[in-house]
Amino acid sequence: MIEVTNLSKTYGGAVHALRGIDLDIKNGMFGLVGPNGAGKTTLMRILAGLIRPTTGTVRVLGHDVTTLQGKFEAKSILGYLPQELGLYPNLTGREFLDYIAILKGVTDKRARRQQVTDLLESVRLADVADRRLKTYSGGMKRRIGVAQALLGSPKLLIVDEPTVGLDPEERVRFRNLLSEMASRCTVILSTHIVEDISHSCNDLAVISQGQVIFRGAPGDLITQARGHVWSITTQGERPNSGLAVVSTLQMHDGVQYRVLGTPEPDYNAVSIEPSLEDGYIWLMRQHSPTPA
Amino acid sequence: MILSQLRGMAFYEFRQHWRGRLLVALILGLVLTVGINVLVAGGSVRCDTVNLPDLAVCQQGITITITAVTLFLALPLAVLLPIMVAEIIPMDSQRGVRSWLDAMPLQTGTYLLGKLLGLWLALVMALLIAMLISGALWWLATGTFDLLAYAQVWVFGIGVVCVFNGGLGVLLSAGLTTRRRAIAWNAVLIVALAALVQGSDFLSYLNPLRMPIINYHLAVYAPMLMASPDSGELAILLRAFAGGIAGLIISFCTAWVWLRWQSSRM
Repeated sequence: MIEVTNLSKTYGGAVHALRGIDLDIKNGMFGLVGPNGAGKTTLMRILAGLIRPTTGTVRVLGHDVTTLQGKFEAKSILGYLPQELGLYPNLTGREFLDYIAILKGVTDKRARRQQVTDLLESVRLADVADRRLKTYSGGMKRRIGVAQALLGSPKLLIVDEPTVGLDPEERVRFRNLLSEMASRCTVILSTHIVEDISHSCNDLAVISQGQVIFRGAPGDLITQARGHVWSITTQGERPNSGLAVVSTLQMHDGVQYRVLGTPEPDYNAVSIEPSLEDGYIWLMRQHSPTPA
Repeated sequence: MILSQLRGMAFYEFRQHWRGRLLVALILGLVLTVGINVLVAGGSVRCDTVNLPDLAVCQQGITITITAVTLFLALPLAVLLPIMVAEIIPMDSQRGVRSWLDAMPLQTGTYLLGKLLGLWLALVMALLIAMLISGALWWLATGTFDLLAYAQVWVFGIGVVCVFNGGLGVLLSAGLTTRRRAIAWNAVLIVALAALVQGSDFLSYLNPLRMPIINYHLAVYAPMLMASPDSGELAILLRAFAGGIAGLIISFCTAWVWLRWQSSRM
């Protein structure tokens, strides 16, 4: 479906955003997770044909997006939601989606109208569809962005940090929408919110400093942290610096910490089952320089 | 698909211009200038009480006044319009629209042409409204005037100048990414082109001030205001139109190459 081979991107000859990435992405929902500045957006933009790699090849459904023709072919089967979505403030939501549908090549007027109406319903914007976009709230703008990415029945859907700015209910709704789409096309979801991945992806890659440091199922990432996640209750003092504190919970009898690492015996730490977030943090700790 | 994209872009670009400030400013500017001239001219442009032998002279006077006032609008518009429309393409980058637009199966040429068509449609509509309101004002002031001459000066004079220079303004700033830079760039460029592109007949047809078009209409409808009656030859008008089209083609190709080069660098 998508083959990425030895992909590198260097900005201005000095900033190495991606360093020799190899990925093979099949149908379904693929998660790309990593910290800010890891190179996720650069990779997404290369896959969407927006920027050219410095070296390496990318084939999207057989089209080489590093060539002009291949890029054009790939764009005709692509739905893309960028991290920052700019809108035309003087168009209404319905007009904006109609405009995008035309640009995506949905030429039949009736089919276009139907698609726009259905999408407005599914992102819950039907009641404000005829209001100008400049009156939309941040969350509404995000939802109209999601709708535009789904227009034209894309075979590949690339969504970059899609749930930023959405309320919890909307996030759940959006994750379900993406999962539904994943039964019909390939969905690549880039995020730094691990929860989004854990609820929807069966395949993921963790990217850090321009390199893929993990590739596999969410379960495999969780397994990596098994035996390293602990619950510690103290009277308020923080566990020692060698441990990574994942969460802090104020209890009536003290403070309960969820930590990663190897705690000293006098903490009376209790081993607990890791979550995907624990697996991710454990992995990042293994790949980060050792603190002094 | 390209035709459908062009149609869609033209329609929605037009709609956005229509809801924006550009057209309101344009229509108001034109109508107010005509209105002030109508007030200043006052009763001196009525032929109701003029006797028959002097009637033709009086009516010619009205035509001259209306032509001169209308063409007087063309010159500042030729300079101001490219600055007013400079932001059209750069705003797509500034607003972040390009981030999704570039992911569409939309070719650079289609994008540029769609932007142009949308603007031209909006300009034509704005000029039509301004022409009708101004015509009504002149009618109230004069009682009657040469409608054909009036329409010709608006359509083949000020209208053509707006189409050429509006298009030029969009294309000249196409490679820029911020509104402020685009406005400054077009302001400098239009003044420089107006000052530098001259010296021969051929260059005068490319000059954004469009003097051959203005002079042609003055020579035809207000000959006593023109030093050279040769300016009224139709061939000159046609050459001026060809010059305007050539200018658009050159700037279109430059903008196309510029945008393609920009995307290949990313």
